[in-house]
Amino acid sequence: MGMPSVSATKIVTLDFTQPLSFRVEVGNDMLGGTSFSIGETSGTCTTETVPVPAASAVQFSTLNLITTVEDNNLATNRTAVTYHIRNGGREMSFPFELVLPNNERFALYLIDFMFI
Amino acid sequence: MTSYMTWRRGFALLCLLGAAALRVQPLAAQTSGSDFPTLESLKPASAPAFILLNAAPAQISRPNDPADLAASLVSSTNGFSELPRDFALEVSPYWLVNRPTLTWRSDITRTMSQSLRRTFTISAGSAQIGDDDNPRTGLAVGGRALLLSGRVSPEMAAQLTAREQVLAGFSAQIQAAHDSIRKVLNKERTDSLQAVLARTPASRRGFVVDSLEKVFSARQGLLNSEFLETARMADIRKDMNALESALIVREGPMLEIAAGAAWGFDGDVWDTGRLHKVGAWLTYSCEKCRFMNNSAARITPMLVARYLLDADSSTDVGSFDSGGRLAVTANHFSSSVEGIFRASLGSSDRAGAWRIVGTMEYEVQKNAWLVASFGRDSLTPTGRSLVARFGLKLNVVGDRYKEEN
Repeated sequence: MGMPSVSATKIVTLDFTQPLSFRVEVGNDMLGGTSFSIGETSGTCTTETVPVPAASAVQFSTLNLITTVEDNNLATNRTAVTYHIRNGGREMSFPFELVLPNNERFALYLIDFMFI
Repeated sequence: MTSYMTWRRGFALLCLLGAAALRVQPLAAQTSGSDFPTLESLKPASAPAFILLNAAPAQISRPNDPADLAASLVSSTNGFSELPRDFALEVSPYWLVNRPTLTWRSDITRTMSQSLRRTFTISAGSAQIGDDDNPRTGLAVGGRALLLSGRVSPEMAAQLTAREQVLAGFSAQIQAAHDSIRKVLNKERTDSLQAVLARTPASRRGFVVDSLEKVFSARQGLLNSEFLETARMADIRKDMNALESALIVREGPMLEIAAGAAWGFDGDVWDTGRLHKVGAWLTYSCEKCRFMNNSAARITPMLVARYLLDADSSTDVGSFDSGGRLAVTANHFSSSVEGIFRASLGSSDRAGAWRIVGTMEYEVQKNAWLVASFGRDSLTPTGRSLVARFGLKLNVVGDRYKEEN
């Protein structure tokens, strides 16, 4: 059986004249780490805000995010990840959640944002 | 140095022989020859409902959301039509709903109110408390919470931060393994999006975007499901599972309150229900507390109070026991003072009994401790209340003083 996961694609309308950044928030008192990729830029992040270089060039590009969450909270099996995208003064939040079976410790979030 | 080591080894051997000859006696502070409780036994070892039923359920239902909770209650009571049998439930109301904004960094310190809400659990259970001739079903409910739950230390926070980097590293490995699928998906979606938007009037754009999101998500989900079954992903998953659990251990002052009540029902008849037991506990401890910053010496205080009422008993209306321990550990040496007092309640024949024992321990060899204790233990079965013991303790399981979360 594959790893418990959430897959989703979100299409986000941006103002490409404004700076673009994103931040990943892992909730329910759990741990998580993210890998991102957009165009030729890729890297990893945890809680920091990641600026997307050349925001003007990302129209019709896809920001691919993979977040691994470790359930280290004995009180719940529910994992939660919220992706925050900031475009100029506007912040958009995209929450996702997944309840793990008792015998699973890791949840995988494969979330893609397409910018138009 | 060599002569010191030789002396230590020789001394340890002598102690071992002495201990074998004397058949080392357990310390009064760690055992009880009567129904007089030990300090550890005063703490609520499990949820109050299970303690009051004297039950150790093999399986405890821990629902994740309100629907799970309702399903658990309905199935155990056969649709609320009968008393539940061999039922055990423990639920934390705070964690029944999603907490997407509660990050571990925002939970490093807690106010008393936050601690109460985040640690409060309700327990409920049923068990047979009668016998074959007089069947009786016991039903109990209880609650426990930490009013103080310490904090995440800077050392623990650094470990958790490092763990998140490890998780980010796994995400990067998965991203690399996923690369070919990602490229195919990105191209497919971009082409479709551009083509569809080019022929969509602005007025219908919102609807079209919503529909495309659903189609793209379905396609992505399908490809990702296949990807997650690949051998490469199985290898990464194996590495992830090889990691030791990274539980968040809090330290500092911990104050727990717990209480519960149990009722007995003769022959499973509701109208025969009457109070069986009541219990309340208060426990204070301080995990990893130090005398002062950068000090090697560690001070571990513990205070416990317990009230138990056995309503079925004709001779006792209840007992109130309280006790405490103050332990100081530093390198190869530790000392502790432990006391327990039983207050006078009703007709208890142990009323007014007390015990106070001081213990000193010295590690003569790794995991071999020379132990001496001295004190008073009232109401021992033999009537001898003097505690004066000397022995050797072999500790093969690790820390002398267990640090609990």
